[in-house]
Amino acid sequence: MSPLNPSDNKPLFDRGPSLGTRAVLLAVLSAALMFLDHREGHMDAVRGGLAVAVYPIRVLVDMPSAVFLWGRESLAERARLVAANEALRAESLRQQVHLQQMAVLEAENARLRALMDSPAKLADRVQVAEILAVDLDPYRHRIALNRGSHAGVFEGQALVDADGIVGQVIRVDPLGAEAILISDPSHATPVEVVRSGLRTVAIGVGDVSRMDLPFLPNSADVRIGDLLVSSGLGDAFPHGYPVARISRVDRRPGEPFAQVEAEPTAALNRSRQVLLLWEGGEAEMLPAATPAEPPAGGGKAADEPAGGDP
Amino acid sequence: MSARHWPMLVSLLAALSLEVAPLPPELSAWRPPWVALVAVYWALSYPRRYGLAMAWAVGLVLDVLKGSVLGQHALAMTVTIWIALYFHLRLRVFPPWQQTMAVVGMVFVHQFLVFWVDGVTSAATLDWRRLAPVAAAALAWPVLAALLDHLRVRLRMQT
Repeated sequence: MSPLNPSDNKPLFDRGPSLGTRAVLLAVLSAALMFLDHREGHMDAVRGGLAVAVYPIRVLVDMPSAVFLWGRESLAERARLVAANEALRAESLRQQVHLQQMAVLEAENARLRALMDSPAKLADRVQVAEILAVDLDPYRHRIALNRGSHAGVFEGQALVDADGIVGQVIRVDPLGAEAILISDPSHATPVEVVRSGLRTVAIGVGDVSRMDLPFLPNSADVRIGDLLVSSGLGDAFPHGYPVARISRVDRRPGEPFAQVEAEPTAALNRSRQVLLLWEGGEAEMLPAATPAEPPAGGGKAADEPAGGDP
Repeated sequence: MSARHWPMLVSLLAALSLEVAPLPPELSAWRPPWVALVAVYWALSYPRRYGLAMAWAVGLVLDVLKGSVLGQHALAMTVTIWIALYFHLRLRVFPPWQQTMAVVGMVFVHQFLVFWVDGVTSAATLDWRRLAPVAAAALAWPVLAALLDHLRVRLRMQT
């Protein structure tokens, strides 16, 4: 650091407010921003504008790992690719067989629902989004996605992967989005136990392999290994997607609630891709064969990109 | 923005990228606060040119980049750079180790403010790893300052 720059010396008479005044003004401005953003949520326009400017940085930071993955894929050995292809084909065949039964079950379900005069549910539509290799904050479980409102992503949208619910979108920019994982300490997921139908809430604890179920009484019907699926209450997640599996039940006689922990079924910190979910919404009667319209919340997604309904 | 600002802009852009670059999970708590360090460097070198307004603006960009509450890093950066500017005449003639200690002090204030806002806005837990960036800054500052000094000499930057 060069000790002295001649023209950096203070002029004899300073103009404008003093350093302290300016610092206090900017600090007050920051505090006002924090209040408006956190308490009132009025700063979305400002954030949206800046986010467009910031998105290239995220893409830039993501580039090394994207290039690495691309290189690994394009330089992979032929034998390995053939093996992987074969495995995938077998997997696909197995799933096709399952799907055959599914079609029959779906039709039966629709008929039964029609008999009971209850509205049928349309199939959910999904789209793949990539998680950018960007570390947002080591103390919060947030991820950055490469799809934004241009792709029809909306705030509150559920994210799933092949094994269960991953999280939900909390912020949408035109090009990207931010999502909160179900393991974030400030996130709670409404769940129900598949075996008993018992409904409760699973809360993140800041650990990707653990969730807490603090509101189950000692007499609650839960066992280790029980599957928890989203209950659909609270309108955050669609009903029936796997969330976690009970990993610990500790009934404490002196306490009002049992200590119950569960392990998320989704690969929260291992996958690079997630699926964005558009709920089919309630149809009048029988489910249509065509994919669902984008939901009202999704808004202006008429020019829907291809790739839904895999 | 005239052309003479580009070294500052490029170094800040690099710092912003480093601030969110993926690290192994064990190391992610040890990430030095790059943006704060680079901003302190430019504020100490050209206090009449890069001041509080730059610090506040880059803090706001950092808020959007990291997805934190708008104003969190802007506040922390403003206070950090205010300290740097207040003591800049003394800091610039300090020997390197003493200067590093002073910068570590500023980074501590910076981290404390970030943590404080975290605590006010959400459930932040007190964790010794919150101090890891301060230690990392002590290691990063001499390297960073030497690198940017070198850059300035190469570019013959003079005010």
